[in-house]
Amino acid sequence: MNRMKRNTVKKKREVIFLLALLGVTLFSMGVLAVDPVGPDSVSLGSNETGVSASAYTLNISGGYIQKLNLTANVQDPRWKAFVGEVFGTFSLDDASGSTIYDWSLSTVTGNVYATRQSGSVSWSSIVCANTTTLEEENVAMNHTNVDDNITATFSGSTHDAFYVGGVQITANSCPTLNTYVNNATQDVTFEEMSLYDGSNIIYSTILEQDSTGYDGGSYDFQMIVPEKGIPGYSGATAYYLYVELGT
Amino acid sequence: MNGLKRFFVYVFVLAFILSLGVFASAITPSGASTIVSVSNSTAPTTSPTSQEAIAGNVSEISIEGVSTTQSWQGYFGNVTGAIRLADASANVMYNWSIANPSGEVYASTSNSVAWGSIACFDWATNGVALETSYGIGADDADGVNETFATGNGHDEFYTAGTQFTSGTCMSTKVYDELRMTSRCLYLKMGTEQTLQQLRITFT
Repeated sequence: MNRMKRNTVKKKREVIFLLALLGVTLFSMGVLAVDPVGPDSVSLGSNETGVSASAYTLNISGGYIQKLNLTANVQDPRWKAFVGEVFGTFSLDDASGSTIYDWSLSTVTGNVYATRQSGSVSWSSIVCANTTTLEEENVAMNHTNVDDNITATFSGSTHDAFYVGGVQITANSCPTLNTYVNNATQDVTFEEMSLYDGSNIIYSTILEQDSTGYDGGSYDFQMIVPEKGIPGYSGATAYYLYVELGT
Repeated sequence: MNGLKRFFVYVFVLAFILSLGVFASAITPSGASTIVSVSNSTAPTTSPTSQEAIAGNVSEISIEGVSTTQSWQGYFGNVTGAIRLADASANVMYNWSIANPSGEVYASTSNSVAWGSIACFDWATNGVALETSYGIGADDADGVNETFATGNGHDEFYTAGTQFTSGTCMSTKVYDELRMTSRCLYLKMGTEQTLQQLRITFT
């Protein structure tokens, strides 16, 4: 009898242990972080560049020497920018895309990422870029101008903490810049950080919520990315966009 | 992905690709945002000197005179500025200050230059017409081809994506403070030609 009791108690403990193990497993599956994903659709708006200033007329006579001081603001051919809004939903799908439930997002939080890497990004290996990796990207993109190369541009370090998939990026740890608001420098919104996955530079910007942007318009994100700095280069380097919401 | 949340994300990208779009083009020269005229001067006239001669003598004298050219004018000065990423309405996404600007300054008789057609000046084809348009004689000592010539070895440069290899265009070197030809400053002639007009660009 006592043996039967002991066996029953033992079986109950085994069952409880298995149930607990199952519960932990299910719970773990439920909180696995989701890597950034490509957007389901992208709607392109305008695509424009700055307008050149008109020539200045000088009218002096032969035999004269004119001393002038010129101030010029010229368009930078070595950088380009993306700006826009993000709309999203959370959805619970199976592998065939059938939805059992979804949730619309009233506010959008998270990050947008841009990288030249056309293949897979190693999101689990993501870290902040550093001077070495940024200088390597300078070489790869022919950014030889010390005033506007990638290292000189990502010269700040103030940014909020954020997650990339399951990897936490602590505040103020990555090379950073802030794109402009209302044509002026600022260090509050539109933070852009440079990251590295072991092989590739990934540019990341923390999503805002309809925040005033560079031209006074309302945007969720703004970011600048480098273009090849080869003199006379007329091509366009493709960047691959990823989005991560709710982090 | 079974049982995992999935995000449906629609990114409305206004896509201000503010520097280069899919069909990118090189940046063309632009006017300066501000020009401050500092000074404008010409050489002073030299007072005449007198030379005494004795009646009945034949005196040999050597005269060195310097006259100011009427066919040329000069510009010099400083350049400051910034390179920026701006949209068509001049709204600035980002701005970089230039500690030591490099590049070219252009001067042209036209206020509408087709930069995509820029080339070295073709003296053989257009030289006479150019000098005639400025009232310069073919044998003037300060004519165009007496001032600009190939073989002066200018540096390589780019104009709106067009590459000019070293020494390919007619060029000249202006003087430094020691009245020696400068190693650094080159003036080069380029041409943008249409069927009707010949526009000369000095760089």
